[in-house]
Amino acid sequence: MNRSIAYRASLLFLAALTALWTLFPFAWYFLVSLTTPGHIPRRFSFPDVLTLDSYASALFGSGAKGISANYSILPNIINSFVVAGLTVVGCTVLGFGAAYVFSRGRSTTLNVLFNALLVIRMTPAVSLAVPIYLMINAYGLSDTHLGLSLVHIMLSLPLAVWLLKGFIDGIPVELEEAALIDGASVLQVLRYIILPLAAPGVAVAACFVFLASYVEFMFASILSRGSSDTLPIAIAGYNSDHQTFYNEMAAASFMSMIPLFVFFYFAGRYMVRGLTMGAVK
Amino acid sequence: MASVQIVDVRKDFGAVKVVKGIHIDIRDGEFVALVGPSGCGKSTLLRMIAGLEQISGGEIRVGAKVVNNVAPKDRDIAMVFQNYALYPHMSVAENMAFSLKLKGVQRPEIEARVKKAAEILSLTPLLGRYPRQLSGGQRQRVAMGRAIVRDPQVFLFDEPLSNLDAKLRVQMRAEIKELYQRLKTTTIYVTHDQIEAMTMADRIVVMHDGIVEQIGQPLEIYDQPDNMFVAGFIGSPAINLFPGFFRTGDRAVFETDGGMIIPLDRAPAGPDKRRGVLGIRPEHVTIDPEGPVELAVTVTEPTGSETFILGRSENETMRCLFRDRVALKPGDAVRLRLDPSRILFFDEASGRRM
Repeated sequence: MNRSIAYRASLLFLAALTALWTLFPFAWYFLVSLTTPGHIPRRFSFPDVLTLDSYASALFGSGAKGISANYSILPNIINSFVVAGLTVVGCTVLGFGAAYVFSRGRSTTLNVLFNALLVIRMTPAVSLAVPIYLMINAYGLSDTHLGLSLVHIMLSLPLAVWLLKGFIDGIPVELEEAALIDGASVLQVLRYIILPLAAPGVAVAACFVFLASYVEFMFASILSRGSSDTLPIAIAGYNSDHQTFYNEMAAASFMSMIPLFVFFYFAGRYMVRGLTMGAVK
Repeated sequence: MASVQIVDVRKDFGAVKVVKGIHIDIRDGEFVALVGPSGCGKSTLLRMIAGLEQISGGEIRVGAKVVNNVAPKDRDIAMVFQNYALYPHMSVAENMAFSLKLKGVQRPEIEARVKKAAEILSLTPLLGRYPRQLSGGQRQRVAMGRAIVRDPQVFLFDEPLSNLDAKLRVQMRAEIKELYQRLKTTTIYVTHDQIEAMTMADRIVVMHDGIVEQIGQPLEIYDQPDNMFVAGFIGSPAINLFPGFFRTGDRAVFETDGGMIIPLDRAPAGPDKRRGVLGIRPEHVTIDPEGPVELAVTVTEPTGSETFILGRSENETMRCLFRDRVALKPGDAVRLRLDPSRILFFDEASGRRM
């Protein structure tokens, strides 16, 4: 009995240690975000005063001159949402069409193309940096929402296609045939039959694509010059040549997570159902 | 309603010929069953009529119109699928209304037609339900409802009862037949179940290996099969087929390869010892103490309404079916008479009836 309690206590201790190990940086960072702007945290310490000044400063650019960063991340939040939104629309629309073709088509060429799509996804993104930079520049799309969205769509489309194909594979072909006989055109079959039945899959794909675009840093930093900076760029911007605004950086980081928490809280149940539906039909 | 003409229709999947030149003339308002073993091409033929498969050769006409290159939606055909293919995200009413909605029919008319079809099929209390909330038989009826609201020229059924249990199958069989009697719409019904074909169809098309073996009325096909395949496929328990040879002489007899000797009252013309195959259906055998064939009973299967007996005679196995209850048990011997007027002869090489 005693041994059993000791056993359980040690398990609990291990679990706590694991949680602490993972969460400690977050906790520390969270405390930094609640510290007065300008306070430089040298080591972990509980601040004397907890304040939301860093949040206000990051959000409204209202910090004191000299010790605070004087810019607001609001435009960057908007930029991030615009870019991620465009990416989600592009990936789901294109991905849905492509996934349908890959799912229903019967040809070797399609198989090769589908596998090629996945292989391309495995190449390190950095190897694409130069060609993409040149292309986006050549079409005058650098520092635009559209330019960055196009790149994000390219990066996420294979995942979207792969996910959606799994869902569409699970929809019996007979439903389409029944609809064709009922008088539907191919587009009507997609609109009235496939899309509603693949909706959980579309939601799952949209979530992943949104997340990927929202946190993407490398291409966002290469392609923007200020006016289309997304949140990750703005957060990184607190670290300038002259000074690092740790408190605002922390506050902005935590604020950037809020939409994701909200999003996944509401989408979570739907997504889990969607993921399992795709797996077992 | 319309007639359907299938003229030399072929279907190849690459080098594989699935349907090898089929001619069927289906009259306006007729109920035709396509029956045959798995892989005989019956479902492929139905899908070609529906427009779900391209035709590799030949011509399909619905009414006067050649529909070879007409899209399924423009053929004015309704189809009931084996797995029902109900739209899972639509209610029963929406499932039935879908085709009318696509056609741009006005809402009040859609409602009226759905209501009428629902009444015919006793689906009215279920109109608000979703397919997942229905039993197999109810789903089957919704699939039929979806077909009848459109008032199409032709109904196609693709093994519609094979997912149901035996009891429900018999019930739905009667319902489909009743529906047909009521609507008299040209119907093409694919099944591998010869009982379904026999009980429902005006005419049966027996298919095998991509060709038509025989077309005819159910009892005509049963009593006068054109060949050994049709004789063997139609009828349950299956016909007894004994390869052997004819012996002419004072009295014509047929001697099977297994050594059984069957007296005949007629024999096809030909030399002594001419080879052939003798066919006798299990129910055309009677118990007769004076009978010429002695059977050693090996299996008895009394079903209440009839008794099935399997036994050996010489080196042949024979199936017998008696309408009466017979008190036989394995190991018993019984003498049998084969009704000479019901005996069929087939050519051994071609399989054709002699």
